Amino acid sequence: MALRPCGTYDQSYAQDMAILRTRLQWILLIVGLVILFTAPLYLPGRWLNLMNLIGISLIAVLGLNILTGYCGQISLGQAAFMAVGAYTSGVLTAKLGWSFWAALPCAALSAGIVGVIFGLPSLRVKGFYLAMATLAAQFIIPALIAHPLEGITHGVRSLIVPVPKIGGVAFTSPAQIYCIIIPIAVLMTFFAKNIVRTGVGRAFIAIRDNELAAEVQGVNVFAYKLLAFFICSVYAGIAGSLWAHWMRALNPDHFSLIDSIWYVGMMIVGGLGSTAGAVFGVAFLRILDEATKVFVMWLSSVFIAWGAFLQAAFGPIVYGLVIVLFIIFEPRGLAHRWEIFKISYRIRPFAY
Amino acid sequence: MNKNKFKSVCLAVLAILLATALAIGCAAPKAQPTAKSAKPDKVVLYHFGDLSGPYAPITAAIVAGLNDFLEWYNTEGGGVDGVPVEQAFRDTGGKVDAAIAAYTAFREAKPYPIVELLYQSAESEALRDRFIEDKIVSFTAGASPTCIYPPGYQFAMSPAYTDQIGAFMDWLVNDWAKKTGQKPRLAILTWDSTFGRAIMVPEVDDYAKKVGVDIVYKGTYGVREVDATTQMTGIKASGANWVYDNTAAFGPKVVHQSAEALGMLNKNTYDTTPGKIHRASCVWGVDESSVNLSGELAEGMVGPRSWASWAMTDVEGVKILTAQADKHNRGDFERVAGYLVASGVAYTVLDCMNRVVKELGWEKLNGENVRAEALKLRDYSPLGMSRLTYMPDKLEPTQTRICQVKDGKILAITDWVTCPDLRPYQYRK
Repeated sequence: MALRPCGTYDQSYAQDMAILRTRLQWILLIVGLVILFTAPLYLPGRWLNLMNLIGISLIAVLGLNILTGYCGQISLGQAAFMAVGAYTSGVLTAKLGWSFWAALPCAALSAGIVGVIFGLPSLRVKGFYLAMATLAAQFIIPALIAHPLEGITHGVRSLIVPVPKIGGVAFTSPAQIYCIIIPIAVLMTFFAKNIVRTGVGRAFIAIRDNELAAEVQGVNVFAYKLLAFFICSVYAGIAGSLWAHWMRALNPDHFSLIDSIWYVGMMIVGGLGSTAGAVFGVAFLRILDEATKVFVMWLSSVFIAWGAFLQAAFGPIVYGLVIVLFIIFEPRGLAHRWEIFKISYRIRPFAY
Repeated sequence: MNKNKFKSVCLAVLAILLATALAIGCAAPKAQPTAKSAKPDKVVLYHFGDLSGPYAPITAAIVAGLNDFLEWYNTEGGGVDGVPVEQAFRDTGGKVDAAIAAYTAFREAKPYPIVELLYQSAESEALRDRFIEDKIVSFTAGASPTCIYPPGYQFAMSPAYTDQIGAFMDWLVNDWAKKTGQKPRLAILTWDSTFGRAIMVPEVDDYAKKVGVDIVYKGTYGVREVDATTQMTGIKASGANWVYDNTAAFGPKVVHQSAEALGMLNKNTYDTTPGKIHRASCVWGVDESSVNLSGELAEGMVGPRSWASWAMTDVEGVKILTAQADKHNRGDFERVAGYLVASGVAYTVLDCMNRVVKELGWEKLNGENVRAEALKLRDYSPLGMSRLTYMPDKLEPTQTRICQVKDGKILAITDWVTCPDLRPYQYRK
């Protein structure tokens, strides 16, 4: 259990429930958000681009964390649910001329509904078997997009998606699209953090910890499992919609099984069942991926004759190696390491 | 300030921050290219592609080719008005988000990109509008109609895949059908991807009808699949005498070995034994990398190839690049089409840059002027390796040769021919 900030006493239930308990925490949050929201004014586009990718991945992983981390239901279809949201948003804006702002909630809803359909087997199967059931989504949804729905989605020929607009301003540059993605990611993080503090969240946790005990206590297990799938897929749908308008072209290849596995990997590296863990996991793996690319690019400029080989092999090897070492030395995720750091700070100078 | 009031103020600040984020977005200025006036220290050719995914065999050869070619160009070709040229490459792993990241990083690099080279259809499609907005010329090997039309800043390195199959059908009717007296019955078996399915369009069907080729079968197989015998059974039942795939590297091998498994493989082009089938592929299929992977099975494969092959040793560019490849001890897997094509395209764009510098000066060397220069190319022959013509409404070459694999070498069996215009109907005059 985490220690509370020294000298902080609760005098009401509201204080007991609060996420931010001290003025320092509020100030740090405000300063952090000011830095985050004003980043387009001082960060170069390549960093904003990375932040955009982190923001979209974060939304997808937050949804997965609610389903898997809190409700205990494994899903290997998160990228496919993203595809549903992406294509809903893409088709509505590109073909029907809708605004991005109107298409976004539709994308979330459509992905949520599809997620519920693929969540139905969760009543009968668990663990690896449920993983296999959700894996089906990863095959069925891209195949549906590529073939039977080709007339609407353009299939494997990319669907060109318009950029979001407000009035006459088109959000084209990394800085502009950042200003849409990051506030939405912040809001979705806020919702994710709070969903798990409600009765619904506690029901999810009860199901994860002991399904039978939860049912005996009156939790409608099936309904809550489906609700978890719905929320998870709504998050995926929003991530997919943002992806579509950031990429400006959609192809079923964008939403592969390997992406779904990486989302699970990000959640595990960050720490299952922790909102902060999702943030850490996504940021860590995305930055690591980018850092290895930059490092290998530099390396290949030094060893010119070996450039192609270095870039082909070295990047993925370094990336994989760091992850393996990380899992060996910190299997409980970055969130756990963060908690240790906070506790150590609070009880300083005593040892943790 | 009491606790509740403090919290209210904080929440108000948060709400204002969220609202102002959008305002910052609306007002965010786009970075403009830095103004150039003096002669720079270097010219950089930026390119990115898949070096750690399924297209790695092709991209690795491209990177090696550009490295060797630029070395020659800087020492023998004199660079761009004496300024040395460097390459900057980023691996995308075949992921479109990595391509966007690479594009953004290069866009902010110094010097500002004038030309970028890229190699995959999905990446080219996602970046299409960005190239126009930033006025950066792009030459792409993955030229699908979606990324080329309506015409912008992206040029194709080879004729469109639809035009290529059209040129092949012309050869089928004018040469093969006349010599054998058989009606061409064509099966299309291709990758289930943007690239592979680029030929499965009404324009190709209509052209086949027009020239008298029966398309009797259409099927696909996955980029990572290694067997297509089920599809080949369907092709056998359809009575096809030719099968055409729009694939690369490992793709044609799947067709060859599936045909071989069913006893259908026909290596003799003019043999008309019933139940046997001839194979054809696009420019990236009639490629040394595919022949290396397929070995004996590739014998007799035919296809349009708009760039010279390594076997065409009398071509100036092939002579130069063979010497460069020997110098760098390049192996068989690097001496493939990508090496030659990337070098030829680099020669073309650097020549365009040289002309801009000569006519307008260094300060006018930008994407807009290089694009205008590229649009002046008519039957342009980069070191004898290809024939490039770009028109304002058709940013893809129009000429090719039909080549064939003979004794492991890719040799031309026709002279240069003009491909039929099979652009999407809406983009034709």
